[in-house]
Amino acid sequence: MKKLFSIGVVCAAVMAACSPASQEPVKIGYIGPLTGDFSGLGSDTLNTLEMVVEERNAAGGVNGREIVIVPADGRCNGSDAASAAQKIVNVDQVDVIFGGMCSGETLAAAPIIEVGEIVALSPISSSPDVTDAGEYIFRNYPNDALKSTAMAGYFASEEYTKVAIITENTDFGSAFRDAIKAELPEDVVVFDEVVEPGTKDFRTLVTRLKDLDFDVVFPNLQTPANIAAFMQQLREQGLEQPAVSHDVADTAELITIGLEAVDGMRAINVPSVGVGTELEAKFIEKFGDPVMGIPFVSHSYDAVNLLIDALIAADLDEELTVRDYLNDLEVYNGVVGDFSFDENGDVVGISYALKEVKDGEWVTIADISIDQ
Amino acid sequence: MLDVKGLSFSIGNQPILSDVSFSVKEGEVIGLIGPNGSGKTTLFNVLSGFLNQTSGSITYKESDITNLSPYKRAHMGIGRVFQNFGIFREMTLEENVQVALEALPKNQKRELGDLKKVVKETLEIAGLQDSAKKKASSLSGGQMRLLEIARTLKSGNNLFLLDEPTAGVSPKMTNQIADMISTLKKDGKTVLIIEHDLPFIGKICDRVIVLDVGHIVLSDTPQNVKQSKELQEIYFGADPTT
Amino acid sequence: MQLVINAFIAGSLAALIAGGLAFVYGILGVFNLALGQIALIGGYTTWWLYQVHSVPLPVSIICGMAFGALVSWLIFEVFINPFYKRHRFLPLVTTIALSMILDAVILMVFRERPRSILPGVKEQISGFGITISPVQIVMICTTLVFLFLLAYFLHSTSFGRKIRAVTQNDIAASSLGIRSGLMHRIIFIISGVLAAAGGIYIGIDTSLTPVLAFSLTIKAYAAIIAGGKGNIWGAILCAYLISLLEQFAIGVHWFGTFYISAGYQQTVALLVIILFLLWKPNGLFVSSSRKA
Repeated sequence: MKKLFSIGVVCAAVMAACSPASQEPVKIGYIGPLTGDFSGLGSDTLNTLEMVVEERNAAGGVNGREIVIVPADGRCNGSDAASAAQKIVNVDQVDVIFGGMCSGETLAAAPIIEVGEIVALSPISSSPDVTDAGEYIFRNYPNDALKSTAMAGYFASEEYTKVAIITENTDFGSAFRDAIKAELPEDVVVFDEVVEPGTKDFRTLVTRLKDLDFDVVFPNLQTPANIAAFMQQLREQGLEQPAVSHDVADTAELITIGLEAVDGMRAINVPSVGVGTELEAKFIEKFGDPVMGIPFVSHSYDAVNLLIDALIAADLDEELTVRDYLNDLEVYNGVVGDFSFDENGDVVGISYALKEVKDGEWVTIADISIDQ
Repeated sequence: MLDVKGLSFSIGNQPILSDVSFSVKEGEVIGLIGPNGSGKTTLFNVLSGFLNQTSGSITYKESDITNLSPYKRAHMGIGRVFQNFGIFREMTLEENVQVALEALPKNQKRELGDLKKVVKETLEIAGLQDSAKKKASSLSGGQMRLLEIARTLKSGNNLFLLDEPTAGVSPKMTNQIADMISTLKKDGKTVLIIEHDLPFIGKICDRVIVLDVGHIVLSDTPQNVKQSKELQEIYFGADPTT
Repeated sequence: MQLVINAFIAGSLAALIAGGLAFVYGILGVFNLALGQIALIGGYTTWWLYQVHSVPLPVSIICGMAFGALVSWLIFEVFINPFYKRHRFLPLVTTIALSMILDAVILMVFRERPRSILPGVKEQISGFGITISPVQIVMICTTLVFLFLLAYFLHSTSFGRKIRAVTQNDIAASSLGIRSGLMHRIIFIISGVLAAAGGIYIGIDTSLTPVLAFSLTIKAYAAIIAGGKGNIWGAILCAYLISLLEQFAIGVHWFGTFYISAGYQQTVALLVIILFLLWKPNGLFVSSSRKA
């Protein structure tokens, strides 16, 4: 069997070498933060892309055509992502795009991608604005609007009526701030401050929190390092109120840096999909521990596989486009669960989980279902 | 004691000094004059090692110093007073002198003995002993010049390069500076002075070298130079190249 | 009161780096845009020795600073010394290039993960309406002692005087027989030590990430511009002053009615500095000098 397979590979390789035009490689473009503050996100997602492409190429690629990756650095900001999109859409003329990663990247790249009529599937972008970004923009990561609904519901169930929010001024942060404020009753938010991106000195804000009566604090920041810094400074000043955050907090990094400062901290996030699976073992063997956590790897894994399925289908059927394939998708059985897309390209079928740091680890303590 | 042979310096294709040769005897006081842009300050910069000549050689006290770095030339006893003030504005007058003495080679420092005392003497020469603790930036132009000359004086130098010591200085201080230079001469030191003040030059110099567009055009006693046709032409007359 | 403490915690960091930068900028008139990276290298080295190889913390810190000094010296020899005499802006180009290279190297060697030299909560003590940890007291005091020693070195030793002479008038200094080339090297090494100390400070106080470098450099520049060119003390004082302004801007309940939004923290502080500069264009701590 194995022998037969390798003969097949050799044949495919020979064929690839002999018949040029129709056997041109299929290009998957990548937009994500390869350098800069969020390069951890970039390396996890690009590694996953490489892993899947390698697997699928070994299994025959797109009907015998090799799949190649064209990566471009979006640096987690609009301007870099726009030029990255310009390059891979217009210069490299890729067939589909895996990305962008940060919402800011996806939103800035969207108009260029729309004009190029190429499907982009993001595994991470969660800003509510991505819903309306365009006809060709898909994501298999749930909209933050849902997460903020889940968080507001959680605050209500715990009877937290005085909420302090500290937001890092990024696309992601401010979108989440707007969403959660819209969900909460008006007088519930008793402290609402926005800090410059990259801020690690929260001492004066904590000094102000000390004089304030609040039930729960929500560090709405962009990196685990920043959340850890905030939690350290909060606990150092003797403030014992519970802290709840979102997916950014849900990383091993947070615990390495924050240690006891983040003990008991909670986060509302997509479930820890992929943990303990074969995918996790495969990824760690190849690249070591993921920087941002296995859930991002899982969403990326499903997204890339789905894109390649769509490419194969579209390659076989002249009438079918990748976009139609995704829109018409009944259900995809992925690592993250069974999902499909709604008419806006938003994912349907992913639920949330409430997690807590216990004994130096994130554990899921409850499922939060969302009624859409 | 100083022999300059065929010294040239150019920036790109623009010659600033062309084939300048002269020699200076021990104990001579020489005035260096010429219109602006004739290369006087450049010559000083090459002599003290801040600019590297394009060609030519410099011999000082029988040793070739053509390629030595500025601080080594300073250690050999070549002192310099700058046109645009060689003082350290954010340091006190005291420190200004002290740092100069501390920069001397070890054996010279030993000869001086108690540095504190020498600092005081130096400030007295310049008449600035009362402002010892003040910052140098509080001085007037003339006072800065006096301080700088006094400092150079006390550093045990043998050859002094003075770049326009009287520029922007009151007449009273000009006299004070002239006195200092006379003292140097009495002590058998060698002095090269760049000046625009011709009467001042006439009073204190043994010889005057006239520089124009990078060439030496005259080298003679002050009286002869004053009466020469060339000087008139350079300063007031027709284009010297025609 | 707590605000002042907060300002000291943040300001000590800025002061270390600004001091290092002021040295280099004041002396050679050269911009070293890779200084923030040197800070990170110092911090990461300390983290690596202490957290990965369990070297005792004081030894790790000293090694971190020594390595920062070494890198700074190499930068001078390779990226600055061959260029700055040709044109004073050339090092601007070479060090920007270098800072990008170093960013990439740091990213490669230490990965994207944030690293903390002392993770977790530091034990706190309270009194007089303030809360502070012994670790922070030690850090603030060490910084002040460090800066004090630097002051002593510069002002009361023959060597320090020579360095200051070179900073203030390079050419006059060498015409007095001071080896300005050697002083330049020493200055770079000191600036490297200061910057590395700053990086270690970050690593202890919060955590290091590979992308911090540029914003560190920019903040230090704000301090030295406000402090006056070549005025090391001005730069250090301004670093503290900017931090104080930042903390007060958002920490004070202005007129008992509103807080300035934390997002405007830096903007407000820098605006105040700009207003100061309009009033004293040569920098806040430059004594007005007589014109000759």
